[in-house]
Amino acid sequence: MINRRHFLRNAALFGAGATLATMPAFRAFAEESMRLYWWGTPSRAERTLGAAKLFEAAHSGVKIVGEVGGSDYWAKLTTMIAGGNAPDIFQLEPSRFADYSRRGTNLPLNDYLGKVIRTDKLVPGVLDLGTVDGKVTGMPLSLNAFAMIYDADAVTKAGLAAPSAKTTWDDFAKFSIDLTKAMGKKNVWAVGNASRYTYAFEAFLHQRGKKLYNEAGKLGYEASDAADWFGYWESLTKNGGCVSAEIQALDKVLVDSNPLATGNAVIAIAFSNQLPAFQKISKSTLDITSLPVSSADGPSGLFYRPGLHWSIASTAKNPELAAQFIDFFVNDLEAGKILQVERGVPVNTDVQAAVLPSIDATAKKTVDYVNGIADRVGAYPPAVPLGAGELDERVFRPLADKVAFGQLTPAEAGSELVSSADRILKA
Amino acid sequence: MSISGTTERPVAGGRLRFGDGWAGYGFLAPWLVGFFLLTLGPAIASFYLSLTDYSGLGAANWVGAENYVRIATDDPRFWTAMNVTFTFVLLSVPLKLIFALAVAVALNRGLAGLSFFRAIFYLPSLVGGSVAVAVLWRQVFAGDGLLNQALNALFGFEGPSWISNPSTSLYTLILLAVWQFGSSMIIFLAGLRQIPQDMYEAASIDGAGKARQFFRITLPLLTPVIFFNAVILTIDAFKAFTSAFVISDGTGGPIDSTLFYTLYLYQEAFTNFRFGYASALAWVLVLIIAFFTAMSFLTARFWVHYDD
Repeated sequence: MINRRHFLRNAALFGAGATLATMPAFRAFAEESMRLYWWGTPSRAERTLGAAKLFEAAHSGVKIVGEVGGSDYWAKLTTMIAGGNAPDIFQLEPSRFADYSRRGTNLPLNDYLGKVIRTDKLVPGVLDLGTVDGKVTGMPLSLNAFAMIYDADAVTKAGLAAPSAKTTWDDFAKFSIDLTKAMGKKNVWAVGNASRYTYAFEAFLHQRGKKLYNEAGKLGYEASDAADWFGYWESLTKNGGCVSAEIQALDKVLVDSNPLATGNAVIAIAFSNQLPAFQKISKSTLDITSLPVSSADGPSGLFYRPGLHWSIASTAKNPELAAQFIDFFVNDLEAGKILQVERGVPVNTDVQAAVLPSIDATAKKTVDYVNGIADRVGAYPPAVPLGAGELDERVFRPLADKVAFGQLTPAEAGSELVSSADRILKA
Repeated sequence: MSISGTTERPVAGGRLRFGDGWAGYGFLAPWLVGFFLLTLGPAIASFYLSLTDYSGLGAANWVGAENYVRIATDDPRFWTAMNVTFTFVLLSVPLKLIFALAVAVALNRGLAGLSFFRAIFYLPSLVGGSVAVAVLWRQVFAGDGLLNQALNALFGFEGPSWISNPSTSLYTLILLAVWQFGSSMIIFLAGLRQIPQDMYEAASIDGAGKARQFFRITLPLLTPVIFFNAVILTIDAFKAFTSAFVISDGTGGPIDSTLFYTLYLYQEAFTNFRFGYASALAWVLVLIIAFFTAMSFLTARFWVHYDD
């Protein structure tokens, strides 16, 4: 028989125990977990978790849970943030960084900078790349730049001269058509259809003295610029220089889904730090160079950009610990040796000095590339406005696909892009 | 007056009725809790949110009917999504009904191993809505997928990439939906069993052939079941989400050709930070489904024959 008095007493004891367990003294031995969220290749996961292990070893009682996203990264991140269970630290990249930051999802790091997060060894100016509206809301983890990654073996075999810093878009079109013909393989073209990559378009605009977004958060280009861009790729598709629309439509703008990775192309317009990831997939030797230019002595369209950011969620339970982790990730030499240049060239000069001598030949190519463009890079563009992510994913890419599938002319796509931008960016 | 009124009622009886009621509610509690917390509460909340500019992050500001106005007047992707969804509903529901009925009639012929075939045909309904099958579908209909390999081997025909071509991608999803005909088929089979055999006997004595028997006896007597299946399938088709989400990787692509209404709603909420607007979209979908269900019931009296 359950005696009511006993039951009440036991319940009270149980309740007291449960309360005690939540008190700090009793939690000292309990693990404190912190969630990290990023996207990327398995190699990135391996390196990131490796650095996390080192951090755990140095901070007893701390457990770091890594979560890796794919093409669903942004939807999942938004869902988690809106649902009130945002990861403590999450990865962002320049084309959306300010978009998130301006929605108040990121904790400003200013209070931690120079204290918990050491800044004395950072490359000068790097914190500016994580600054939105006067506050540092994300730690740039690396430096990279737009780049063209190509299969050097295929180019040599075709008897063509490799593209260089002086290669114009017109040269490149001719080169791609010749290369595709020389390879003569079914479903293999020279290059992926880059018309749907906002970053490639951005470089194209910078070469024309325009911008993707201006300081006021409006479009920094005209419909005719977009029409020229779409038109370039439309004619390259027609002339057999870049992959078919059906193949390009499968690209999720991730390394694994790029036509270079799927074997449908031998050139990718991508980011400098992605060379090792592509090389891991490819059997031939890959090389890296800058993007084609509008005129051989004009601007390169390149600029140093933060490869990726770590941002702390504004709702993080223990921001101090998260800041410690970011400090460790960026400034610790041992962590740097594990991370190497997978996210790009490290932003800490000591880490650079410690890591760069030991990296492999492929990683060295990316570092040499990033250093080699130093006298050709332009200024870092203004922070993107609210809605930039939506404009990229829901308007720019589908419009590029419509042109590729022949549903729209480049001029129609250009003017639709501009009018949609007016609608989306005003919000 | 009122005091004397209450004293006239037998107290014990009143308490008894009261106690009985609460016991009943007690037993209903698990369902009631679920209904109020997980269905009604969120539904009311979503209606409120549909009148705000809630972004999922900050506060929700009252904007009145602005979201609904924008849906109607200033949202091209809404109309794309409507177009895709209606194409899907109008093709997948009749095809699935016809297919399910045809298989049910075939199985009802007293085939040996009926329960085996019934289980086999029901299988896609169990697994068809799953992510794994959508992934499988993507493999089958990809450019170098199973279907094209078969077409190439059999006819030397070079098929397109069915999944990534905007003019065929939606049809692969319709096919996937039709393939999950199992649960409708089971209901049809049960309905076919209800039709008295003596009607067929009488009809065949009168000289009616198999086709005539089917159209004059089977089909009319089956109309209540057809009606039930049609309503259920229509509602399900409007709500279709998983297959398009998985096959297009959440984009509704290529070029929004598989942008189901629910997928668009999901994108607006979870990738475009417009929870308020997405809530309004959800309520518009409720109205659309309610309209079609009401229309089905209103027209039912003209073609559904109840035996009584």
